[in-house]
Amino acid sequence: MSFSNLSVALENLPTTELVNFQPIQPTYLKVLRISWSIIFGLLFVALIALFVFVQELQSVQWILILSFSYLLLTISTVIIGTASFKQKAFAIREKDILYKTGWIFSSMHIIPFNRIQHCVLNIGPIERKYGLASIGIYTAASDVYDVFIRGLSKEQAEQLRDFILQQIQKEASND
Amino acid sequence: MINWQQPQRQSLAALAIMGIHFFKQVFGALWPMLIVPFLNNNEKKLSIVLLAIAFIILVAIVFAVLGYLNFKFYINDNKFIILSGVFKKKVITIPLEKIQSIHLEQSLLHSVTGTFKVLIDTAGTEKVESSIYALNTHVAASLKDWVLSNRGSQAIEYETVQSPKIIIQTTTNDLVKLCLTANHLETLLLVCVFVFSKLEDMKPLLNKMSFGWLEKYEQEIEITWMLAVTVIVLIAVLSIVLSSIRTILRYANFKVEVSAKGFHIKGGLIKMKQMIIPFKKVQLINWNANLLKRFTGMYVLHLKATGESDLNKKQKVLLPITQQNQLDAIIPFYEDEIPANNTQVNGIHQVFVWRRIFMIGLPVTIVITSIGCFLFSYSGLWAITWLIYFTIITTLYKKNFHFWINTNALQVIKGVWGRQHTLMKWNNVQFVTLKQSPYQRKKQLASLIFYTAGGKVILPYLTLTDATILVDYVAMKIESSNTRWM
Repeated sequence: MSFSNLSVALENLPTTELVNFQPIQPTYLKVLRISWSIIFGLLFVALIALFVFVQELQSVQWILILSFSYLLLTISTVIIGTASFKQKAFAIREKDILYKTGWIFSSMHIIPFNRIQHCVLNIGPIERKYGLASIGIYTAASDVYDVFIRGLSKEQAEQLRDFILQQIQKEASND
Repeated sequence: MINWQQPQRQSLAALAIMGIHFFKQVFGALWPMLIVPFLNNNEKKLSIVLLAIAFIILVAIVFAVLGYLNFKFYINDNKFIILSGVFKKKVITIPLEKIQSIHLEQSLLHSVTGTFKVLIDTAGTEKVESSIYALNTHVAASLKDWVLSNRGSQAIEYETVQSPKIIIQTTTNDLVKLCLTANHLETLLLVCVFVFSKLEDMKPLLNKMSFGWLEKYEQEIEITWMLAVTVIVLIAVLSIVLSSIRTILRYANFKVEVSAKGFHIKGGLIKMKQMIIPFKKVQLINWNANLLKRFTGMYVLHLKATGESDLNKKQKVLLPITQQNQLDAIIPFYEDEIPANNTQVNGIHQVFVWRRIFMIGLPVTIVITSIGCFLFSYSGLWAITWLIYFTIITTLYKKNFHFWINTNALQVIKGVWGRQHTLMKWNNVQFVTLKQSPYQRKKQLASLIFYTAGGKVILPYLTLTDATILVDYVAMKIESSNTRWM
């Protein structure tokens, strides 16, 4: 029986710092803008309905407070959402997948293929219009997805799904 | 010998248990409405309520009988199959090799009827997959043995453990120590939460009750220091009594054994619990001591198995450690080389303290002091002392936060007054996240979160260089290892 237990020099480790991250599709910003328009449009209608039907809110004070809150929420969502969009990027290495997200609070997730339980490809109605898709990656760490990569082209997402499934099968056959 | 391929019914005791379970659910939701007429002596409404209770009992009986008749289980083609449902039929199929453990639980009703509740626990993050309400003791034990010995090659690697070996067995002395060092504050908080949640249910009832008899005492009672001290002492005594009762109910007759199958855990005074946790299912170990336990060398050890985040506190595997040798006997079944024994100690960055004070301590102090001054004028300035307390606890937390890293595992010790120890094998890590706030980016710092199937471990405020090296190292460990994580 052969046994080896060589020491590993930390400077020789493949480092995440040198990885070239691939940004998500620029058209995803359009998807985001349409989603925000729908959500804030509906909120606007709800707000108007509140002013019309709730008598207690028909005062300058309430109209100013609620309108200001609405504007603040809309502007901050658009600014933070757009800046976060620019930060989203992913990289696929031989043994793992990396995903960067977040503008104010940034995160980088490193998910080894030999820990992925399954992955899910999602295509929403707006994403479909622009030929985009999302991939949810699940490990045993939680019941919900651990990483959700949005804004991939449909082909990219399908390729990524197939690649991940291939890696899972490869890891399973190595066990 | 029972033929498990034939569909089996539960013990007849299940009928009563299912009926009581249904009655408790319905009555639990409706009781405040139902007892109002009793208190107001309203005879007309009383008869309606009695009729309603009789109806609930009747429906409970019907549901229990239908549920009992429709509930069957059997094993076919290496699959455990459970058929259930009253109106909507449900078929649960669990491959035997997926079954991690079978837990037996005994409530008071179970012990009176000589039965056990059987809980089937599977791999992955799912909750306890399914349960059988009541099986006679010998049937439950035989089912457990049959399944565990026929579920295939379930990683029985610990062949050195030939016969079960007792590691923990609580004595009366241990129970007394555990009662005295229990978390009395937690019990008090639980009682408060329970009382407030029930108060909400009882609102309609309280509105209809008269408290005139209390009002005459209102003038007579004078708030003095004596009264305040008496109330505080009474609350303290009540908390100690209640947490002692909780401890006795949980840890009386408590026994932990190890065998080739894993940890065998038995215990409980009224509700007897039996479970087997296979070694491989344990993803993370925590052993914690509050201030009282710390000074007496005692801990509560938490075996964090897969699916831990979905379990409620009652289902968590918490073991009372009253002697250091018990801890020394358990830990090697998870990891035999403790990083703290032979590696260099590490800490978190000094800015952690100032950052927490600036981001949490200061804003909270400003808000509570403003509210305090608004309500109580200058006396509200006392709220500033919160900032002093917060600074002390944050400084202590930073000072006490230590971690050690070796080639197999990460060990963390933290805590302000008490101590929380965590041991996590790199092989159990599912994925890693490196996080940075704008301030951390500016100062070249980062926090790391290691996610396992049993929970997560956070290392806050490391230098970015150290964090990156550690991420790369852990990724290499996970990706190059051929050892299964479960």
